[in-house]
Amino acid sequence: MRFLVNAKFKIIGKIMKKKTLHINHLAKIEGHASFYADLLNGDIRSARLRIEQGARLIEGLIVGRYFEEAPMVTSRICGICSVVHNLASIKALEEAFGVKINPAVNLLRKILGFSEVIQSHTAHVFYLSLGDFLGEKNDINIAKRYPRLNQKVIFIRDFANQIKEVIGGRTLHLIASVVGGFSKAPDLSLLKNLLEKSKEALDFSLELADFFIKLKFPNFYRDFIFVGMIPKDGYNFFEGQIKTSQKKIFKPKVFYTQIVERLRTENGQLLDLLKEARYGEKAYMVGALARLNLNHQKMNKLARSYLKYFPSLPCFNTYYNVLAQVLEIVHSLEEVNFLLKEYLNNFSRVSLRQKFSLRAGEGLGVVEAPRGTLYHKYQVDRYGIIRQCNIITPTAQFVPNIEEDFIKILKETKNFSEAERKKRIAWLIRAYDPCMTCAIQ
Amino acid sequence: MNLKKRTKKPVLGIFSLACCEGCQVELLNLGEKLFKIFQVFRFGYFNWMAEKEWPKYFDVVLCEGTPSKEEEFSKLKELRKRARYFVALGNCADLGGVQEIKNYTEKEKDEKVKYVYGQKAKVKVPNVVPLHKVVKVDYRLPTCPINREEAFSLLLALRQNLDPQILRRPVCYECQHRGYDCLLLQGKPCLGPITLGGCQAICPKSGVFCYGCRGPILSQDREKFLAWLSKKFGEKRVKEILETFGVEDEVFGECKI
Repeated sequence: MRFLVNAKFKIIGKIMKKKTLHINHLAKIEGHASFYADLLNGDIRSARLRIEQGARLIEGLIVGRYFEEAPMVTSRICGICSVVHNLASIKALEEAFGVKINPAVNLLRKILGFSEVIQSHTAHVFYLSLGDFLGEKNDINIAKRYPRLNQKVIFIRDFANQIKEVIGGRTLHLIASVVGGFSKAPDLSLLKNLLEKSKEALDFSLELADFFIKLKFPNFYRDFIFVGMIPKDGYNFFEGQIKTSQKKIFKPKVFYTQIVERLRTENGQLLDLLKEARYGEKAYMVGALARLNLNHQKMNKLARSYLKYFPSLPCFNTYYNVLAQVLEIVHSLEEVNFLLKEYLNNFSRVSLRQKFSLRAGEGLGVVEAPRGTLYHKYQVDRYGIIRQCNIITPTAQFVPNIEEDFIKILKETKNFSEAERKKRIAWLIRAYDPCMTCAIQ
Repeated sequence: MNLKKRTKKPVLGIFSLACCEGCQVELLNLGEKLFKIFQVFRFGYFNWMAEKEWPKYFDVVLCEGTPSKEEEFSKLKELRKRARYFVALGNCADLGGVQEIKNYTEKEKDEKVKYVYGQKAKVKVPNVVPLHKVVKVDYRLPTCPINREEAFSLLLALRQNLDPQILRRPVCYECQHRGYDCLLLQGKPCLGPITLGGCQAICPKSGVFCYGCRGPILSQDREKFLAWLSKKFGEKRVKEILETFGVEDEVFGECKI
């Protein structure tokens, strides 16, 4: 009798197959994160991206401190996109104090925005994501396999870094970019050298693009919402209205109020320290693919020539975020060439630092970071002390969207081996180019 | 263990705890030179470049950031155990970083955590400590972010079995040497005279005063200068500037560096 009962349980045990898919501390991403999925009988009970970063509480640290520190300290939220934090912080404070900025300063800031995208995207597509396409785990081997392409990638990144050095004072955590403009005007002869170099950088980026269009992308389709800050004219990362794939247009400060931030739980326990950001309850994507989907018609001609390699436009295969980044590199290099000329011809003698008075106020600074829309909100008092601070980063906004992608991918890879399933998941996470240190500041 | 005389290449590992990872990005910004480093060192670990298990042993470990949770304290101690030479990479690892502002400015326990996560949040964030307060650190690469050329030189020096030490000169020396406008003379609270040089006075170059992120230089005049600065700008302002990069406790406390 007992034998029969035990056998029954054994059979039930085999039918109710419990399985956990786990990638511990995913490699080749910015920061630290892990993937967990709980499967029962092949059904996905949960699939989460757990962010392993500890909290530095940057939003809280700035409160009570002099406004001058905000662009400096918030730069330190992230090392691969420090420029956009600096710029968003400055924009917010300039709105709070009512500072009128002259076009020369905005021109240089736009160039900085493009440079950050160029160096970040290039590092991501070549050093972080390419390994997934080639089945190669170590970039040293990729560099050995494609030495000339590696050199060109290094050239492009170095070019973008030099722009940040000449205009902002340093490649990372800019020094000269301050509230009111720039504490020091860029050296014009160095800018002229960079203008001469920009043509070569652009040519190299076309070779990079020609390489990436030949890669095989995984098949994937999921209908998702995408959002970005889109300018009225052109394609840049500095200004505009918030546009969504649901054909809605918002003023940035209105959309900001509709973003809901919340901590995440799993099985009743705190999952991690991320405050995920949703549009009400809805998950959405931000980043290169979102921007391209919303605004590809306004990309420069060279970048547009690669649009035909997307499976559809708009594209709903989030693996193609990598290709979208490649097109943004090409586009940005062309723009930088144009804007450097513009600055040298028309604005090189304009004063770059605006005097202003302190007053109580509040401001919202929004820029498109390489990974998506970035929001910095501050309240200041009349002594210039920061009283409130809130920052919503791109990664905090697209993590819910990644998790929705997980469910679909796990369903579609039911018959794959465990290793192959984890490979697809890791490939997807990297394709989003998440920045975990931004996600949990 | 003479690294120069080894038949097998020494193993290099690059790691991060809680930080912005900017120092690792600066290493990536070395470009060609980074690949040269990995020609003379064996690739041990670098999360930006490879998916790989930790080797059992490292000759050199570069570690940035500060430990912000239990797992990170364990990771730090394990790395120290496995490393021949342990290098604090960047201002966070070296002196505490911007996150140390929390230690200086919290008026009540968990004030900042509650601000960020809400009153009811069950989030715990420990006091920020630089790495030398947890493990023995053999070499430092200060500044926020690191001076990548300094990092390159240090790695090559270790490879040659040399003992790379930072030259004991203040930032003022490098600033005056390059003919930059003196910000103290312009009435700004510049910490150049009491800060360890090696950054080539990169902030004064852009017209921004030195916040002391490389840490204080051991000098008898330190107290005199700070007293003068406090008199001119107020004790509160001077303390605030020193807090920004976690330098305050080293400057007013026991300066061991």
